[in-house]
Amino acid sequence: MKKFLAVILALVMALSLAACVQVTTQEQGADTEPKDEAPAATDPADWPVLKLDIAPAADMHAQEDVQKAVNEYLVSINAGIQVEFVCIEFSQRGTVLTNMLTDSSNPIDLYTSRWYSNVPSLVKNDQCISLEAYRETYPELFTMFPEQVYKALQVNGEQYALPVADAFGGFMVYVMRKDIAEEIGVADLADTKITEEQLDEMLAKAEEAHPEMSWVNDNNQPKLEKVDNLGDDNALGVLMNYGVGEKEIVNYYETEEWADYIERCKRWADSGYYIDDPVNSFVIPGDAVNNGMMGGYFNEVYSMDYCHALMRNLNPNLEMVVFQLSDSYCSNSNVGAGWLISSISKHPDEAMKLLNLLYTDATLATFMGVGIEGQQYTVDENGCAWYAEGVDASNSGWHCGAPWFYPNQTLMPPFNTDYVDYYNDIVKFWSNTDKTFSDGMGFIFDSSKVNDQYMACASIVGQYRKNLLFGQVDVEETNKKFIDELKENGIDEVIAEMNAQYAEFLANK
Amino acid sequence: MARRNHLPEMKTQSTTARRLKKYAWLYVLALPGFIYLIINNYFPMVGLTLAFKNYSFAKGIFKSPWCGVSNFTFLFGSKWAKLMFRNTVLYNIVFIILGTVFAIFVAILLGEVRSLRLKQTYQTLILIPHLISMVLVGYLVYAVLTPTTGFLNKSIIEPLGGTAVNWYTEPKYWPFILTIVHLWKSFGFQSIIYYATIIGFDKTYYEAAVVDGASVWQQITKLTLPLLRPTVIILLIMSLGRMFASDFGLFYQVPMDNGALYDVTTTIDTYVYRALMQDHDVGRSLAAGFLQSILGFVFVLTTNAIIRKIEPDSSLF
Repeated sequence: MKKFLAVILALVMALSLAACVQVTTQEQGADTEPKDEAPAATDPADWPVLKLDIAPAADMHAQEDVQKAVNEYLVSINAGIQVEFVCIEFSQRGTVLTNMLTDSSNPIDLYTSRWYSNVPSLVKNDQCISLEAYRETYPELFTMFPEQVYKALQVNGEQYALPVADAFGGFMVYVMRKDIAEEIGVADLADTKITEEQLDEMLAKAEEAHPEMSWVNDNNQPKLEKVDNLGDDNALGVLMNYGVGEKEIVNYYETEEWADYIERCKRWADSGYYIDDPVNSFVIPGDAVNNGMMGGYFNEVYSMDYCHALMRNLNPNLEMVVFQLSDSYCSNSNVGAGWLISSISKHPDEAMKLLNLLYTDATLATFMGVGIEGQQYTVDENGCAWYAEGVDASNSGWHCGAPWFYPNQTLMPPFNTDYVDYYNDIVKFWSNTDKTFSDGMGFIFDSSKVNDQYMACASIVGQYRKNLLFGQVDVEETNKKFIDELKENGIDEVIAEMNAQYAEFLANK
Repeated sequence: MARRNHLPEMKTQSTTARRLKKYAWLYVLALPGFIYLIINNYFPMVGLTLAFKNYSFAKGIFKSPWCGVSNFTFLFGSKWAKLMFRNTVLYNIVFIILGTVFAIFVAILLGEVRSLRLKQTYQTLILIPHLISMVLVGYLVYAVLTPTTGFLNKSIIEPLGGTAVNWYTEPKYWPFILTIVHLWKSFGFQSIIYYATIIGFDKTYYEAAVVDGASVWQQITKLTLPLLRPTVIILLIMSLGRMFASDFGLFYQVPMDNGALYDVTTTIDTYVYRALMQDHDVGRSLAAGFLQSILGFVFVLTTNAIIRKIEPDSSLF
């Protein structure tokens, strides 16, 4: 019996190993295919299938239907490519995407840096290819957005990612329930630009009238701090004054502006404006207003009309008023994410072709954004899309609320809003002269020369910044400690390197 | 002389051959396991070379360029180096000592329970925390410690006339909180291991002790604890192998990654995660893991060597 068992087990193991070898051989065979395989095949079954990063949602039961519809559409336009959707759960994105960008036998072809990484890191790790070779073939893709926006996704002058269509700028507003604004006598200021003092006065009155409510959810926003953080949430080195006319990067945490801002935040915290335990809690402000937990909140928008439409969408049963807090500025933090081609894609040319379609083909963009007409959405007589009858976010089976995940949402019909010009106004905003670009727009810091100092300082920012912004600690004592520790751990070297690179950036502008 | 020197060798070869022949089928039986071990535990070690390379996702493991020890430098030279090594090692020492004492204590108590049903109930109950995800544990702790609505402030401290504590901004409490959470979560599993050892002890020892008039306390101190010593030592050596690693969930999820607590919650694992979360630098994260493994390996070898000198029968190898 023992001998028999041993032989059986050995046989099983041998067969398993043989199977592994077989799979590996097949995969290696695929690896040797020419990278520039042309879509010459007339039979769609022979077209290369590209793996495409798609937005996750709680319920994705319609994924196969949408994929099938997209592939049928690609056949109808003789695209020469087919797609396979890759839906990665938000919490698994780091791990899964890293694996798919490593595994040459099962690579992802097209993906976005959103919720994953930033372009300089992706370039440093060789996780994407340069798109420069496609500039002549697809010139529209390199000119449809403002020039500064493209620069924010370049490394050493080469375009590695294409921007996700968005407003790329905006201004801060404070929105408040209209009944409360009327109650405290500030409704007449609605739709006007107010000062910091007026805002503080307004918040004090609101808190006095409704101490059970909160008024500040997230003040961790560069435009409230009036800086261009150069796309770095740690704000290790910023341009003051929204980056406008600024030629030098400074250690923000040493500035008077930072000290004043956290003093103000502390006053807000001591006055009870914040939500409970703001450091550890996360609330969706629209929901918090709807359920009476908050009476108002900060937001960044690109136009007042858009803001009102957004409020109607987020707070359908409440009337809201909007107070403008700043002018329109565009900085690196407004270029949220880019779309890239994986460095291990076996079909980079076809991936670029698909990217071009995603940026320019309205039908494809609509499929990606809101799914299938009649199944997930319907379009009204004004051209606005709404959930189909009996369908809502919980059962649509597709991530209809995330059109901003895809390359060009502006090709879609406005979704779940009656603001007909929702996307038209975004496109107009690109050429709008009312906004001001930061001088640092397009500057990308390469931290490799001071990487150890940068990492140490970033962790120190993590230790102090949020608690100071939410007024949870003694401001004077903690801020002094914060500044001292940054100094001891090399912030000056980081800033010096940033300035050296920034001077070069300005010289080449 | 030369002939005499060859004799033991020939004898050894002959013994080995005889043993191989005698147990040939058992070796064949073990072969799949050996192959599995080699494929899953030894082959991946090739990847350790990445700790010394600038990993390129496009070029892969073997074609990526070498970079010396530059992947290791981010672990040293900043304020975090001292903090993370200190925290990792000290927490592990506390966890090992208290965890062992607590687990043995519970295992002995379990051994004294006579009712089979109660015994099974207790075993199940103490094992439950071990099965709960650390993310969930983080939220349970949050429910207890939330400054404004938490159980501790609202139901204990304030009713007793005390002032509510903002637990998540006070680092001084967290070495205790983390230790309590760790013990609560891990003691059940460890206790079961010790309990399994205890029930394997020869009952005649205890019967003889009872005949000689030994009290329960004497049975525990003179019989159970000495008999448990080899198991304790083996588990201790195995724990030391992870002396420079930490439970990421415990130090990241439970304190909610709150910056105000970094001085007492930063371990090697949490620092590496925070430092590399943005740029997914495989080489650096592997360098940290490599360093942890090497230091743990040295610890195991050293401890085992010491134990082999003091008590050879209890050493692991």
